[in-house]
Amino acid sequence: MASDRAEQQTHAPGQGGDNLHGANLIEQLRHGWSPLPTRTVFSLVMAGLRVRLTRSLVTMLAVILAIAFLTYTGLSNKLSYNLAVLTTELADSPGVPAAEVERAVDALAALDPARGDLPEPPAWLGLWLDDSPETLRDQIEIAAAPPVDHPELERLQRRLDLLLWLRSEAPETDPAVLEEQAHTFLRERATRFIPNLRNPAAWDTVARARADFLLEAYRTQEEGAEPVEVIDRFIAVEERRETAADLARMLRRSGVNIEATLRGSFADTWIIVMALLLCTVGIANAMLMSVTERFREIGTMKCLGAQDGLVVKLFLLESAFLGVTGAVLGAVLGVAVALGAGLLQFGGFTMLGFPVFDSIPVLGGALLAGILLAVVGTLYPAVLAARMNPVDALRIDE
Amino acid sequence: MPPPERLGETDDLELNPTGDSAPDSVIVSIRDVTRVYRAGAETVHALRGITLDVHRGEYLSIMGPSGSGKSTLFNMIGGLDMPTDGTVTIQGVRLAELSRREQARLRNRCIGYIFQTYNLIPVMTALQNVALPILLGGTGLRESNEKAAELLDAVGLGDRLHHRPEELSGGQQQRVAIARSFANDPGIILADEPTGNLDTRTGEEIIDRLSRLSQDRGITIISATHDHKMLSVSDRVVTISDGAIAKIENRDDLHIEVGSIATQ
Repeated sequence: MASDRAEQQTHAPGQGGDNLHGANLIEQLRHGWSPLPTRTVFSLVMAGLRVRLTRSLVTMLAVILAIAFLTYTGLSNKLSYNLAVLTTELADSPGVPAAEVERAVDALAALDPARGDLPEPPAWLGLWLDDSPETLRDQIEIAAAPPVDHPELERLQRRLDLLLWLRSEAPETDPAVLEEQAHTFLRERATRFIPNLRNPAAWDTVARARADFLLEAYRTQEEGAEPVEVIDRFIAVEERRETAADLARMLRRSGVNIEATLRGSFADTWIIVMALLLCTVGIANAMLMSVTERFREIGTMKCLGAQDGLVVKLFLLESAFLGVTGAVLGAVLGVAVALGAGLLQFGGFTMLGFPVFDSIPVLGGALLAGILLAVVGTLYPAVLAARMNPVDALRIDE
Repeated sequence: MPPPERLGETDDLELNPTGDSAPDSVIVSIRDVTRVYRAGAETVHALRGITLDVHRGEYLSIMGPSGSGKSTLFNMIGGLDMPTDGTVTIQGVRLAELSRREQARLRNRCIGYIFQTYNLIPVMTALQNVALPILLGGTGLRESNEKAAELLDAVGLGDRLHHRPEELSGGQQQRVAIARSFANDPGIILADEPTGNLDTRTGEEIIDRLSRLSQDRGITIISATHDHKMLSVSDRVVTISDGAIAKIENRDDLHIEVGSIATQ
């Protein structure tokens, strides 16, 4: 290009500089002009971001927080909804008719569990023969401290009784034999829990473990298989209802109104809209600031020959970069917070209700919102700045 | 819009009313330029009909108190502002005939700017600052950087290429700005109070550099200034008062006047 100019330069020989005149100059201003290569534009943007690192990070932080908030709100709403649905489903599970349960219990009562292959005693009946009576007594004391109805208490007492009884029977017995004896004892003792089957609704953890043990024993007998299956179904329904009750309690404690959530309440929509508005304001403000504080720089660049389009392009690229990076990081943060908050509120149920496929529109929406808001938030001030007269842009903040 | 050739011809005829120089020896021509600002309900007549020719290779200073319209005229000449009425012609091209895009290219190609406040891009190194107008003109990155390095070397900053403006003294920053203004070999350099923010000695050094560069390269320099040292190297001094030209002094008149000031 330089050599072209030199050839056209017919006037004022000996002078340096671009001395095209009149028509020749117009010709050159209209044509023979290549735009700034994208790579150069990109490197200008990146250099700016790097040098203004603090500013860039603060702007990006605004995007991150806004998008994290949006993602979190969306996901936790979905989580509440899913858990509410789960609660309803569990609570509505069809029960086993009482008469059928009654028949099954009667059938089992006619059987002797000890005739079956008894499984190993469950852990709650477990026997730690190396526990000294003193250790057990200490544990009992601790367990007996208020609240007195500690569920461990009975278990520990039983273990102590058992241990003392075994020691008194055969003080010198080798531990393996002692263990075998203990197991036999426990099996026999376990068969006495059968009355518990009459009222499964009242079972606590220990009762359920006993029942499981017993049911295992019945299951191995031919006549027992069918009634046990009925009881199993009954227990499963009971457990589902119990879970539903637990979930409903947790949801209530977290301020979730199950019926309203299922209906799709106005409040939930409102929260999402508010989150979106906050995002818009936060991101637009950050972008607006980053443009307005650079009016003077823009004026200088325009004096040096930067086109309006280039100024807009520089800012859009910058904000797109901040928007994409911020939105991705924000979405990750939002998912983490939603997951963490879910675990705190609903424990293991979070995993049952956490939106996986449902989260795609939430995440997609949040990412899109972040990028779009960053770009749109920049567009207005950038176009404004780009269209300014260079002098006016230079005069600002002077 | 008339075809470019016709435009050039008519301009040449219009531009040479005095007939005392060849048509293209006039590099900037201002005809009956007025500029009216509207500040709220108030109307400010910054320029009230100014006609002025700047010749190629000339060193022209514009003087005048603040509020006289000096800056407005200065911005007019540099294509940074558009007149309310009248025509500004730069290198035979009427500014009003150009689109915004073409005006930007004209600023890039034909005019170099030096500001009182240096106006370097703070996030760029000296090298990047000088390379920027070359890049904006469409030259590749490597070539631009090479040329920028040469220019910085020419203003004695060959060892400060990768310093950012904040790491340079005022004088050094203004030297970077000078190198930047020369970046695209413009025909015109516009210097707005280039020594205004510098101490006397640094100011003198900047003026020295500027006038030497302009002589070596035959560049037209137009500067707005109060600085007498700056006036003494000028070929002509135009004094603006109340939006109109109060007087135009040529170099010979000036030497006497400045000399008399200096001896007082």
